[in-house]
Amino acid sequence: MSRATLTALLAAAVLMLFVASLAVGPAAVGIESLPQLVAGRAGDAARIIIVEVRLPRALLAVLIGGALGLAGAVLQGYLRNPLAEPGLIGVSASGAFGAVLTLYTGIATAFTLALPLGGILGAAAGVLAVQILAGRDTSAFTLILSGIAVTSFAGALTALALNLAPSPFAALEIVFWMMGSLADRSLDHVALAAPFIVLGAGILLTTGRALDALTLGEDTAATLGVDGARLRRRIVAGTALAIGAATAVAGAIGFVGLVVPHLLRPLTGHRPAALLVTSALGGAALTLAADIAVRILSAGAEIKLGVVTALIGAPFFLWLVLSARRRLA
Amino acid sequence: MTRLSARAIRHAFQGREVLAGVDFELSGGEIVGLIGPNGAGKTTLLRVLAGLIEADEGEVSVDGTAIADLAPDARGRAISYLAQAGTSEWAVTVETLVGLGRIPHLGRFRGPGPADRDAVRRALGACDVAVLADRPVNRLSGGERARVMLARALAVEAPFLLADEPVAGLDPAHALDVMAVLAARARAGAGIVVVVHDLTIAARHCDRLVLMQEGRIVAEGSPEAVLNQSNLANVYGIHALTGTAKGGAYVVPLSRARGE
Amino acid sequence: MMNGAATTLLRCLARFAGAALVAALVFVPGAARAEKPRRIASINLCTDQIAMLLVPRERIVSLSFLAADPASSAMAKEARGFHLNRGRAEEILPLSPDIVLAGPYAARAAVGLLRRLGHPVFELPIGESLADVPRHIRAVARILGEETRGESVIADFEARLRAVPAPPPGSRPVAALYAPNGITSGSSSLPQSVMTAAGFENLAARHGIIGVGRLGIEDIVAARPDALILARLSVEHPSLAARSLEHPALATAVPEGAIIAVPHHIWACAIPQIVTGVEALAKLRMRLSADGERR
Repeated sequence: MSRATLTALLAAAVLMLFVASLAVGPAAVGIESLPQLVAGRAGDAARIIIVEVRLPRALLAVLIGGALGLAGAVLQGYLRNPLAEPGLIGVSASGAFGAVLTLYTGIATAFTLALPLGGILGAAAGVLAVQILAGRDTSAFTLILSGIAVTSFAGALTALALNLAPSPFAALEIVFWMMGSLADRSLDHVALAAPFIVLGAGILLTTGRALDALTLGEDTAATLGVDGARLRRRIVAGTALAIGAATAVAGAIGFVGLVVPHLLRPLTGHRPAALLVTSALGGAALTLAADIAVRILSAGAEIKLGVVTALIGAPFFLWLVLSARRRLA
Repeated sequence: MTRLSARAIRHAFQGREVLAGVDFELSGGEIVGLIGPNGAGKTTLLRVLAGLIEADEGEVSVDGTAIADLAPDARGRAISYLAQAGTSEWAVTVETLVGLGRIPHLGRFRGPGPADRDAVRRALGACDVAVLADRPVNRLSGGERARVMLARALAVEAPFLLADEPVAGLDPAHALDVMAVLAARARAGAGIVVVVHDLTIAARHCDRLVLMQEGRIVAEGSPEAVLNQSNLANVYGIHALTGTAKGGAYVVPLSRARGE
Repeated sequence: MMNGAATTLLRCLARFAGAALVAALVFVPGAARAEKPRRIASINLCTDQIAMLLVPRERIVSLSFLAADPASSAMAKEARGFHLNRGRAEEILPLSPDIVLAGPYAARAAVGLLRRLGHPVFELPIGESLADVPRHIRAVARILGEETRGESVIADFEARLRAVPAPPPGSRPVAALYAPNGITSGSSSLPQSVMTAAGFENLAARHGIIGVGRLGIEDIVAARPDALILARLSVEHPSLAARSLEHPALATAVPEGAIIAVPHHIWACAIPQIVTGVEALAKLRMRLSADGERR
């Protein structure tokens, strides 16, 4: 399949899932309301539910899923490891801690966007820590180590916040938030996250050529004109902006950044640059589908989006193990 | 571009001096063999010439312009580097891999054009791997992979090519193929440096040899002049059978030279 | 237990914030309406129960699902037949509420969304003492336009509370509160307030625990309290329960007959039903002092 065909197919899937996402939810507003809405003939309740409740969810799923897929593809290309995922550089964990801190101290009640803002500040602090730790060394190895250090530390602080939570309700709220969800997000959340995500994604999309050169290793890539330090700065900045904002708004949504590039790689000739846009579209499609599944499956308590993506990710790893065994046997 | 020079290169690594004052010159149209025992500093010198290491002292320049002053892609267009035992991280096709050699020419936004595709075709042809163009690189034999990596380095069509042990681990037929390609490239005007351990290959395919020991150049000149018994004993610590046959010299190591 | 100055400070700040929030929301124009709200939606267990106490059924359009859960709600039977929600905006919006009652935790995004769409939301803070019962009822009654009914409910509650015999002056018996996994409630909590009103001193508060904390079995056995209170989920009303203790050692910690089980729904919220807990604990206290005199 040519790359153009693949891209077109993925874009079509995203579009269809986007429309489907507007038609699913606990209120009795279904697919038939959409053409009514466009024609201006929908009732007030239906209009509010579709535009103010479901549309932000769908938009965030596209933005966040796209960011996760893209960042995953970039990091797998940069670290030359098909098991890399966006959280490796420490942004998700520190963003999560920033958000949890607002829940723990009660600042989250001050105004609706206090929590995601806390997440963004946390992500920024995490990125700063990673840059300081990794120092002037441009190798990917020190970046991974710094990312792991920051992730571990942020994780420990988050566990401490849970431990010292003022009440079981507060602790539960923190735990549920961390599982990842797009429920009841508003257009304000979209307005907050979108600029960061779009900017970060834009920066990440410029790394394609350098990632292609890295196929030959860091040394040869340097002799082909790749500036290793500049590339790493771009990757860290782009990932921090896009994934930091994504985590801040939705919590921890795992596996999308890992699974999507991995699955699409054979279809794009294994070339890192070719994987960027396709992974963004694939991530958007997967997250939209998972969010639709959340609403269909949640008869009683809400099944968290992060739980659904984890339930997709685990069988994926199983399949990886089995196919690796088959290949090596 | 006609001259790649290194002046007064000194470099220490983890407290140990690896290059202790090296002057080196490469002109277009010649193949220079960089030889010497393990640890002599050959690979380090090559990496300094390629711009991968910034030496503690001294300067590398192309036609008078220091390479440190060149933009990374300008440097990439001037000097092509073939790493030792190169592998590809991803299972791309041979044609895609060789195409990566055109990256210094592409700039930020331009994709590969007809000139680039021609260069790739020429490189594939020169290394006799055109028939493998659509094969994923992880399904190549050792000899095929060496030729593909060489094709990638040739695709840059840079005036200077630095190759680090391009024939290591290859059987005699493939080794001869690789050296023949490099010779052809030199005849077409490029300046080439190869790091080699096989002294007969160095002798028979290089125009000039540079012999290094402990971070210094201890001998330089034609293969016959450099590969004399005295140098072989003092630098390599071996007794060898040397001679010329069929238009080139040969060196056959016989025994260790003990404290003579 | 590691509850130190920092936690105290944060909890004080949170309480100030909570009190300020109640005050602000009570006095926000539009929140104290000229007309009584006719379509009341509640997404929090405590506001569910207070609403059921203050207004007739027809004026409530939805309660949280916890209101019908006998483990958490003291009014689970009364909550039957209502529309039950899980705190999602999309469940609430089609009901066109004119006021939404909420609490400080969970459903936070839903509260933000509902406010953004122009629905007034009243947030009731967490209850921490018996004094919060009249305070919370008054706050919600004002929002719902049922001040008179609210005062009547409060008056009944206070009368029942006054009827509980006051503890004699002097030292108080020590009670240990034990929930599964060693969870306990220290100072600034509803259980503590109930224990104090019944004449007990709270072992957890003596250990410096503020709010929810942990008191291991060893700590309880070593402290030799005068009474053991087992916090239970599934008991209908407070009862003297000597059976099914978590750990045999607990039986040795207190004198015979000094164990009482109190269901969680008694003191999950600052609602009038909490007085049942005060009455039961006071009865135990009086029995223990009578036993003590006899020995």
